Amino acid sequence: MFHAGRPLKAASRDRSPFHTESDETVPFRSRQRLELRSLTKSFGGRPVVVDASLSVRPGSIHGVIGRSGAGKSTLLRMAALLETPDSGVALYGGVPVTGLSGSALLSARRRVGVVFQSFNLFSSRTAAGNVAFPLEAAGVRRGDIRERVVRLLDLVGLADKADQPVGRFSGGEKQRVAIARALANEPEILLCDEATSALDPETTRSVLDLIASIRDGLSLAVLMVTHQMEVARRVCDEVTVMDAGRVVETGPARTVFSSPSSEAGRRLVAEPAEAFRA
Amino acid sequence: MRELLELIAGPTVETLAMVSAAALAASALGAPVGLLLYLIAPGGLVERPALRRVLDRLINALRSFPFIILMIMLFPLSRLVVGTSIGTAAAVVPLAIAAAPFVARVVESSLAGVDRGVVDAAVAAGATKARIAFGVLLPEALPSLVSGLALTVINLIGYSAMAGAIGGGGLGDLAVRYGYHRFRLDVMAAAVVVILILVEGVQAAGDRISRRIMSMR
Repeated sequence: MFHAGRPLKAASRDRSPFHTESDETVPFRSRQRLELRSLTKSFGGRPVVVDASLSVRPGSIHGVIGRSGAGKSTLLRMAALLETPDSGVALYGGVPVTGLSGSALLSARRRVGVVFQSFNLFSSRTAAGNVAFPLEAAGVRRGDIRERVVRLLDLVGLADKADQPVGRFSGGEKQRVAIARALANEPEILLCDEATSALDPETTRSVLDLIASIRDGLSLAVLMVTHQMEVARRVCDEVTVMDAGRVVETGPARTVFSSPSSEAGRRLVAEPAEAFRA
Repeated sequence: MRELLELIAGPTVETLAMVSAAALAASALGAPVGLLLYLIAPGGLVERPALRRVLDRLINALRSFPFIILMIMLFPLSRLVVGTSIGTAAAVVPLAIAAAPFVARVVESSLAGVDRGVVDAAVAAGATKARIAFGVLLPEALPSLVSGLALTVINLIGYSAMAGAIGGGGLGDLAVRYGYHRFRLDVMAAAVVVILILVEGVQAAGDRISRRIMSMR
């Protein structure tokens, strides 16, 4: 079974886990807020996200919950700069990043790590090759890449499998590689799109613990889209409820789960837990 | 038997040379077009619907040309490129031009088979389009590209036999000259057997390489 990887707190409160001997003074770029303001997106004239706003504090996990088709993933893709909103703006650390192009867009994308439901790993690369990809894309020197990749895989408990092809990994291992890859460029913000939906209950717990330890250790602003209520209950500090493309409720996770104010929230909270059902 | 072997050896080498050169040239011409077709498709990394429509039609037009007519039409080009319109070298020109649109489609469909989520991951990582194309798309599509290349070579072997019939040299030329004009059915049969062996060999090699790449993943 997977272990949670190297504990992060002690190592990373004071300095980056990406710290290298030659890179003594470079701090981990954390403590940046993610804000989404009035994002709207339609596909083929059909509104998918309507006037959605939320804010994710650094060092917190903000869950976006809702039924399938509620617009959660589209919202996350706009936050990740994978989709351009029809209107509204995403801000990283208070700086608008929507509508950028060229190298400014590429630089903005490197400030965010994205973890996908189906891992989206490069099957042509090993675990180390996958984690190295964002570093290669960012133009990091080859000598530094290997060192950082080893640290990142150590962080997710897979250092011993660095040179293995990812096709042979279990779902949990694949998602750990994906998390290491998402952290490669020392992002300020981590976006998780149904990151545990393809995993079994035990692996789900283990991956959630890893994400929580990353939140605590690296003070990242984590936006986590999920339809699994137990996942949101377990790790989220704040929760936004989406219904038919709109944000219908936002608040501390405890409050939303104990006394939801929206009809959609009440329906979701009443749903039986499935994520951890063995 | 010895005479038969001597007769067949030279044309076999000619066919191999003709097909190899044409496959290389067709790949050089067709692969970039295939990549472009994928990139400019709707939802692609560099959407260009108008250019895509033009390229689509051009490729369809080239692919619908019967090879034997294309070859005759391209005699002037062969003369321009290799100095003659007869022989093995001259046949490479129409062979390459006939196979290039096929290669373009093979590359396009191989790239289209790459999981869209993998492309999303590369985009989200802040990679440039060139890095995504050459560092992600082509390596991810490699097993399918190898199978497609084998298929291209097999088609070229068939085309090369046809090219032989109108002065292109190789096994097709041998089969026509001896089998058809001199009633040497044994030579024609031998040429057909060699062509069969070549096709089987290319298919087996393509499958093997493709499987090997997959097994390493």
